[in-house]
Amino acid sequence: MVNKIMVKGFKCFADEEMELKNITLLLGKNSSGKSSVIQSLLILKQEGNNPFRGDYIELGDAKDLTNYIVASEEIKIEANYSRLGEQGEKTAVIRVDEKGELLEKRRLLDLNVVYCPANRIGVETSYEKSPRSDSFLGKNNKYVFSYLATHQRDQCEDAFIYDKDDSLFTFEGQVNYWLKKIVGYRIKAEEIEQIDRVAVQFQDASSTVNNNWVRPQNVGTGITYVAQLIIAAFSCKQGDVLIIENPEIHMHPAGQSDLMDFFAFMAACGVQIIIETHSDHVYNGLRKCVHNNLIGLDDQMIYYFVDDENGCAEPKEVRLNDAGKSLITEDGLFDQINKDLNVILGW
Amino acid sequence: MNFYLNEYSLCGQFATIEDFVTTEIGSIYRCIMLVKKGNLVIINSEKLKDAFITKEERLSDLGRIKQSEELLQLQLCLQEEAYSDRYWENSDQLQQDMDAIYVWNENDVSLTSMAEAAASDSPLLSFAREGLTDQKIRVQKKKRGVDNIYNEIQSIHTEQYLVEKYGENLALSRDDVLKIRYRGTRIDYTTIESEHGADQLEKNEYNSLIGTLDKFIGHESFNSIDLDDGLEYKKYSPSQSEWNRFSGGKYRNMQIMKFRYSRKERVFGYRKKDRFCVLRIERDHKTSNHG
Repeated sequence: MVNKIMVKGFKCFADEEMELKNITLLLGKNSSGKSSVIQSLLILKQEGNNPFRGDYIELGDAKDLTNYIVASEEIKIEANYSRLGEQGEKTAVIRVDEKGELLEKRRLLDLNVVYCPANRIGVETSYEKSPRSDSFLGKNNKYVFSYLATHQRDQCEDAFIYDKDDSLFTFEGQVNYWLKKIVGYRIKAEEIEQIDRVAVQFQDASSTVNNNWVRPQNVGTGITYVAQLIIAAFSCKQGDVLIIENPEIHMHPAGQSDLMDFFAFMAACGVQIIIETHSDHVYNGLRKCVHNNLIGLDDQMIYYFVDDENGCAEPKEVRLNDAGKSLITEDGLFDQINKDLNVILGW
Repeated sequence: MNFYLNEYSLCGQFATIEDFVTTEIGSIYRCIMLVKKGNLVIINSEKLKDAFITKEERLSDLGRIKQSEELLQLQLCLQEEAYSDRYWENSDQLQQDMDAIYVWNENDVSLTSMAEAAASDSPLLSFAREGLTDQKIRVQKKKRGVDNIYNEIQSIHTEQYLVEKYGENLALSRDDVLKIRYRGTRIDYTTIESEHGADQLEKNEYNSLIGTLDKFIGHESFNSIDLDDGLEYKKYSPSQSEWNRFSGGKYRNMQIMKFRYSRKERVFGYRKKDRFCVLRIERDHKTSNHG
């Protein structure tokens, strides 16, 4: 689990440190620093002399990424993390000067990180089969359904089984338990051997007809998107890190709220989850989980990013009480509905 | 059936806006939402937004105040009213007699929702104001040359009173009724698992359940509940894992407890601080047999 990240001179950050918990939400206006936190973590995972280009992200070169507001001469990203079952805290550090010279690189972030970017793969006729046997889901999660096809009959980790009375204990069984709970569908994935592709089909879980499996094109787009997130989460093991950008994409508000129940449960099981979002339903969904004890108050963290007096990003902690109520109000923190209602109601 | 949202009940009686927000909004909001959920009509007055919350601040001033989530809830539920053109003032045919004076508690309430509700024999949804909180009120109609007429109507302030008086019109499920009945008590019924709720019970079983839950909340403390032989309040402890009907991550960190509400029927749930959160109502003793 990543316990803390320190970011200096990188993009909009002058010098900030942030504590991360079992589940962390990153909130804020566009271009306020949310993605830069995620990128910082991924930079610590990427191998090679240019940490800004790699398997996870392609950001360009150091000269494009140093903070121009404070005229940074170097970028330093550091994370303190702990590995499940091992004592003590480890530190991963990368320091690069503005010309791209690697000044310091102390250990990569030695945790499995599953990254679901905002531009993850959408509705396709079929999906690429993964050439790898590990849990790497590929750029833009392009192998996520291949992962399901390969692992669907595997036994699910016992700690991840939410309801033993109402679900199969397989990987597929747990994916489908949550997919049904969140959007009312089931999924199956099958390899098409001759062409190394994977076919995906969905079924309305409330239907009484057995063979009514349909292609992704013939169900709502959100079904494909949320299925990916559930599969990605179950591809994790305890101690892994799951990073999700905009889980709300194509999702109805009710589904977003239920999806947060799932993430809170997985986070409580030991998968560290970091979410960037613009959705008040995701934010309220997490607060509801705190209220309902699905996640402990101390196991969650919410940051709202604002500009400091210089225009650099400043993360403000959104503290909650144990009923899930926010203890702070900030202009722009999901208050648009209030502003619009004031106009509509003439208040 | 129509309900009138009573702007007359908001007359500057709150000391501060915070008092109004923290003590008042939840109650009126829950009543409005219950009526809407029951597909019944709420009729509003265009004077509502000008009603005074404190001596100086009106409902319409709330937009200038730092907004709370409670206020947002109220705004959201009033939003529909604002658009629905359900102002009784806009009606082609007013219910109240324009040649009469309507009096409540020696106050002239003509041309208010009080008079309109009385004239149409409809209940009021009122903010907390002395004399208008969960009680039957008497509105007098005075008209020259005609004997005074007294109309008795309900003035509702809490959801409990609303359900007590108009539960049948609201078409609530038993689980909804129990959630409302026990809100704010030692029993938290909001945690019920819908497939194990009270709708499966026969009427006599349902009555026994209510009797037992009432007894449960009437106890002085969990210590006295422990000592109540009739309740048999104890841990659910199946001797073998395959008999455990509360397994899986869903019930992690919950110590499942049970108590009896009839000879073989049981209530299952868990304790959260000073409250008992109900998960399942059992009527066949199958779960209880093994734990």
